[in-house]
Amino acid sequence: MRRFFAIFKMDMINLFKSPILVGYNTVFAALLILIMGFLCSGNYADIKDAYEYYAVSFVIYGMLNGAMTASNCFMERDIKRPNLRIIYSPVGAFPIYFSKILSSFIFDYSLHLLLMLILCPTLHVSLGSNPIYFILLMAPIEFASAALGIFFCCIFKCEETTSMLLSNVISILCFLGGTFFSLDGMGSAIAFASRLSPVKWLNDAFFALACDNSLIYFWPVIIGGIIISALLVLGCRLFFRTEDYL
Amino acid sequence: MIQMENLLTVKNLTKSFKENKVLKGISFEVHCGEVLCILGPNGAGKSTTINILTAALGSDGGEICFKGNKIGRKLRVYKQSLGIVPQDIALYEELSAERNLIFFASLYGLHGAALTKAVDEALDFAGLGDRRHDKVKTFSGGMKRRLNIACAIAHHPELVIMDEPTVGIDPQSRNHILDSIKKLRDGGMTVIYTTHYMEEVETISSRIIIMDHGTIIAEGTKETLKEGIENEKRYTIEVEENGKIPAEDFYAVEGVKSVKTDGETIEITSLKGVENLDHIIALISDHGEKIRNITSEAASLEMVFLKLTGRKLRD
Amino acid sequence: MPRLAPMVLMTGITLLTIILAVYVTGLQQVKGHVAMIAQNNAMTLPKSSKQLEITVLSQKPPHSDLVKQKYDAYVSVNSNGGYDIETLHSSDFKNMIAFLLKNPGTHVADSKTERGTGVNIIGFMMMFLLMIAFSNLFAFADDKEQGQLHRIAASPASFSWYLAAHCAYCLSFLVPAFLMLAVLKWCGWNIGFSLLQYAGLMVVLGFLGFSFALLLNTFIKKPDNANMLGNSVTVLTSILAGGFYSFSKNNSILDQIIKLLPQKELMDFAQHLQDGNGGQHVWSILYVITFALVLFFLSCTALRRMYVKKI
Repeated sequence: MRRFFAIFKMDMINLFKSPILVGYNTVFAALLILIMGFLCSGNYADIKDAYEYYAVSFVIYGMLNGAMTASNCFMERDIKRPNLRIIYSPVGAFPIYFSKILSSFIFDYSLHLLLMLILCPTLHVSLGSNPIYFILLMAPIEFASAALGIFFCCIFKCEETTSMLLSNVISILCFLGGTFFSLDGMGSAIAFASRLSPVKWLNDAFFALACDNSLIYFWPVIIGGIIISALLVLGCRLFFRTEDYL
Repeated sequence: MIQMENLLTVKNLTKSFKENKVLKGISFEVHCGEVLCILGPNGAGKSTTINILTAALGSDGGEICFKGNKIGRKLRVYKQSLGIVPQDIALYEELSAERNLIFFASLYGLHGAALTKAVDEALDFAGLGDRRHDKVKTFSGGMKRRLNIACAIAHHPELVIMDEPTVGIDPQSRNHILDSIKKLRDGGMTVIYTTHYMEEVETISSRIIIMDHGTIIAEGTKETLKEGIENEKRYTIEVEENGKIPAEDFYAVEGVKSVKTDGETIEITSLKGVENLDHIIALISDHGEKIRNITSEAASLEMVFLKLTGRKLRD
Repeated sequence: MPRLAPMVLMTGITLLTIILAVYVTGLQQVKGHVAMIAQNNAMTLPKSSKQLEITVLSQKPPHSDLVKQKYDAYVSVNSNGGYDIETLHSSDFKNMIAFLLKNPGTHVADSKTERGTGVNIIGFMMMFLLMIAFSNLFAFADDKEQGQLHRIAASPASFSWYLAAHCAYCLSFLVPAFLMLAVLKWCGWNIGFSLLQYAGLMVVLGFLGFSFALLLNTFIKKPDNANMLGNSVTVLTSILAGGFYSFSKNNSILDQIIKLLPQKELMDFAQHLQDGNGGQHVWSILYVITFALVLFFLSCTALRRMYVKKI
């Protein structure tokens, strides 16, 4: 346990020491929310509703992009070489990938919470009558995203390929899910295609919490997130090989 | 001859990468307290052997026993006793020397006062005590290499495996590293050291394994390996033009055992007791060739390798 | 090849966006989607029209559907036979809905200028074409990171031609998108511009993307960081420039800032080109080209200072 904690601590240090990763999860996300909210405020009578829409949508976008953070801390070129020593040490394979998942999860979760803490009161964005549910619902999504990034790295054995693939796939899913603008008004075919995107379901769940104080999707998303996370961690166990680090 | 205790035994190790058979059934032993040098050109299979010994890579066949136990059964115990110095610098550049050592030593179960002591000793060993708080990215190549070694020995392993630890550094740093390895040996640590530099092997080795094309072609101490050629010497003669003198003419000179011509360089292996250099020079002059340079060397590991493989180590 | 999958995916996405743009332009855009809440089936309710899409429901949907713009308004019939309209849009919109409900066949003129097919296609493609340049400049990024650039600069090979080769390589990845447009045109779809016009616009976009990618990779040490920053800036600026959706804000300061973006000028030029008066607004496209050239020049200057020093 002590060794796992040592690896975990090192991963957290490496993540927080990267200004690009910290900026991407805070400044870039905040800019997207502020700019899109302002630009699209013409669609709403009250600008607060525009910020509501984009704050929730882009937090989901940010959570899913956590997969890139995870892949970066696992197999980025400069990290890979010192991480090789961990492979040589007697810690075993599980702490190697699991500590990356856990550290990426905590890194992304804490930064996104900080973002919400600053933006929500400033922009008068509501997270529901009891924001704790919103915050709790973020947890399994953040974890599953981190696990997804590590899992893809185990499959492709290359951080660049993983990042490029994941960023494109996530962008498409978010676009279809209505993150950048709602597709519901673009005809039945596009509305149907939009429903196929898991981001749409996440949007529905988080908006139900934030706007309707409804917990209708709360437990399905939590349980779904936990199951997906477990499957991805199992996938990492099956596909991770130490020789991929050589 | 004293039978030394075997720390590590490797039997019939094989490994292929797709169609390419990299290791073709190698077997050797590592005795306690010795420095075993694995010598061979690039592509011989040294790094593959090391990666399998460090359990980072699986083998296709064969067996590795550590203190009589197969390593597969007690992998954790085996790894606890290992220290690895990888070929690439494996350090966190944004962290200080001390922080790197603390982290890597803690992976081997060290904590508290024991950890602090181990880190201090490792820094002294590497000669980096005064730079402990500086970030690794500010270090020179030699200093990084020294720290690379320090991270491998901080937890006092029984066996240290070093994969070409002196690549790309200046002679002064290299000598410092070689001196450090002698200190480890003198302190009872067992070292497996891979390299393609003869000079290093000459300096530190207890025993030598020579590998080429995935097999072990020779094994023994410096003395036993040179036994076969101790009565030989080699002349390397550089001439201004090439191709004029047939090899048979050299063989006619007493004591000449082998001749190899490579462009403007003629390499002649001759018996040690026979003074035939003046005949060889006369022969070259008779053919109208002008000699630029002559070097003579006694039996060396380079010659051993040349004799065994028919080519130089760095060809 | 580990880079093949992302390249193929990126190209595939670009092709899909072209099809999406053509499809979206062909759609009849209604003015609003309304949920009509009616408990009594016997009531005579207004039907959907070309201007207004009406969905009859027995229960009022949740408030989140208004925020998500699944519906633009909830309408219920009050005791007087009139309509109670709940919406998050402006009062003008509310009045328009009320008017359309009472006068179903009437046509309400659009306050915004409609974007044509060509502008839609270029707008949708823009972000992806710029991102393609980033992903395909990996060879230069690797050369720089691993030190090959020193060898190249020290060799007799022309450094300018080396950069030109990278430019040509990046631009070559625009060919699949162009071919898709050619296929759509051949199949009889209206793609807005002629193929020659598309070729010109795409080359300009491609060169802009290449120049920006070259600049970031020149000044930023790690290719990953350059990619991350570049893609972030590309996404933001493409959205701001109205690639996917035209934003109308009566804010002169913001408008001036957005006008500095080359993508905005390109979109404006495309709109004018579609309207038939591209020749009078050629300064817009020249601005884009100049912007790209400035970025390229800055990169070349920096690279020369770093790698090609005159003795």
